[in-house]
Amino acid sequence: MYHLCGHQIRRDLIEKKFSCKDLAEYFIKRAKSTNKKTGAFLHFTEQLAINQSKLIDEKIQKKLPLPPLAGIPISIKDNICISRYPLTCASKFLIDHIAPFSACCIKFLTEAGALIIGKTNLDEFAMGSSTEFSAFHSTKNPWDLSCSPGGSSGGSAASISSRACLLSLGSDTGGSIRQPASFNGILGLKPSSSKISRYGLVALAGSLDQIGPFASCAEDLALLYDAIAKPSDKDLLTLLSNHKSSHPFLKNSLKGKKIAVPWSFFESLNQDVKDNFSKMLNHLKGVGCEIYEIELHELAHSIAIYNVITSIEAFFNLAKFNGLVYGRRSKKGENLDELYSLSRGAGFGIEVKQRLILGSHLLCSQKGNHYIEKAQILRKTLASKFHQVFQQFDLIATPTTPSSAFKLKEVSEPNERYLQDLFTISANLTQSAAISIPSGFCKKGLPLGFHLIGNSSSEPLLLSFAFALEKITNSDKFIPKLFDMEIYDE
Amino acid sequence: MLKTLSTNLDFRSMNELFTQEDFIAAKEFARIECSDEMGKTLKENIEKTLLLLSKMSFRSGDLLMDDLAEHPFSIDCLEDEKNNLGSDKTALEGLSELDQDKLKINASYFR
Repeated sequence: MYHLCGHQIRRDLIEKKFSCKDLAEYFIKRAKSTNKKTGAFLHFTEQLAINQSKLIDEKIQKKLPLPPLAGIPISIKDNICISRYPLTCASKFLIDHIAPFSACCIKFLTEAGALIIGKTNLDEFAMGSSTEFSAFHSTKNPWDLSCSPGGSSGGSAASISSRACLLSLGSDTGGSIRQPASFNGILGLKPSSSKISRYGLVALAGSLDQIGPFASCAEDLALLYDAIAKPSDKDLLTLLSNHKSSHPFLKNSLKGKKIAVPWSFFESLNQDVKDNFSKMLNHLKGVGCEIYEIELHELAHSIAIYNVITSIEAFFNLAKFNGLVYGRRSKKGENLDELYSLSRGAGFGIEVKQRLILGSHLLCSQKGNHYIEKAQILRKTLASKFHQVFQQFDLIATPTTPSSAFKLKEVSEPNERYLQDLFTISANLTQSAAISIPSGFCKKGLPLGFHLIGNSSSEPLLLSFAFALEKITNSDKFIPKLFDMEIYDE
Repeated sequence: MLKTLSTNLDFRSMNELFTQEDFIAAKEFARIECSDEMGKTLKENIEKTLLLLSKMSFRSGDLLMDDLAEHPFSIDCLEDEKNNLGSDKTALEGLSELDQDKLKINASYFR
């Protein structure tokens, strides 16, 4: 059953090949077993999945129409609220926290019939790109258990590549969906801003954060995106957006689409990644796309801009985690200031502390202020450049990451870690939509990703590219050997 | 605006980029307690990040000026955007005045 795609499972349910309850039990059992190897999950939401499966079975019995994600097992990154279930953001600070409400996207998923089976691991408060900064445990890459699955949504990506489930939701502030998607050989979409309500997502940097879907095949990704990209009065930005369904456009012809490639930006890229990228461009030429070289030297600014903006926005967003309003309270503080400092000192891990102290320095010292103004102006410059590019071209293509998955504990320098997001950050800074599409494997046998960035509201176009490339690469069949079998508790 | 942009930080040495006093002030303002050992690591890491910021773009004044000459930016642009964003009447229908204001502010921020 694990080798089926979500839309095939839905079809089989309608044909009564199995019951939805059996399906839920199968995937919960598989998720618990695979989790012993990958550490993709932090908690399981077994009862939620079983209850939902019973409702789906009732509908099948009564021959009522099934919702679009009926019976498809999904995991949720543990910085998205599910009412009455733990919400830890992979932080010791929130170890006891139970979400008092559900995020909008959870409500939409429930209406769409998805089976939510568990909450997945992440870098603490989504700060990181390896899932090694989870306060609980590192997640391992199902393609090579000694490697990182990427991050911060590494648990979500690993839960799909190990086929513990077929869909997942993550969040992307600088590449946190696309980089792990690339490392795991699956699809990951960062929608443009205002498409998916962020109500119920624990904010890292409000002007960059997006909730987005993961899947192993393009059709499932489109179904999931369509199910959650809806207007919501809980996030006023979504009311401004034109929500166009992407599924009907999946099979559109790509003939004549213009792809811009900033080749000069890839000079120092390793040959393996460069060759893989060229191969994907050739595939696109083969389906009638036109490839053009462009200069985009503004991309070189993106990591610096991102560092400044995320640090200052995280500083504000995490101020509420003080041991008084939210989080575990220190018993040692003798006054309010001490209570805050000791609670935050004991609750936060090193990466969170580092970013908050950097944010504090940028905001509160004269030296730091210089950086903020320049970052804001450079961000505007980058957005302006992207706007110009999208007037001439349909999409911008880059590799998703500068390398394949790295070994756990291999990248210890913070600046080296930030470079992981070199190609992905610009989409967040410019509010663009972007997707990572599996593009084959490097010489070490680890997956690589092909990254496409489109203008705001270009999700249907991005998904049609994913669909076309999947037909050529057969990436929907990529399953790590270690997990391409029925797995049961030993 | 251009004057502000051309003001680059000129640190004579790494030590001036992020001093121990800067670290202590930032740590206290962020309300974060940490051990001396962790404090040392954090300071070193933040120094490296600040150095990256300085090297990557913020000290390259000439490049920045070229970018801006190519893609002019002014505060007026932002104001124009803010005013235009509220013009989608359909999106605003049925919302209270307070929500409409919030929407305009949010939209200009996230634009």
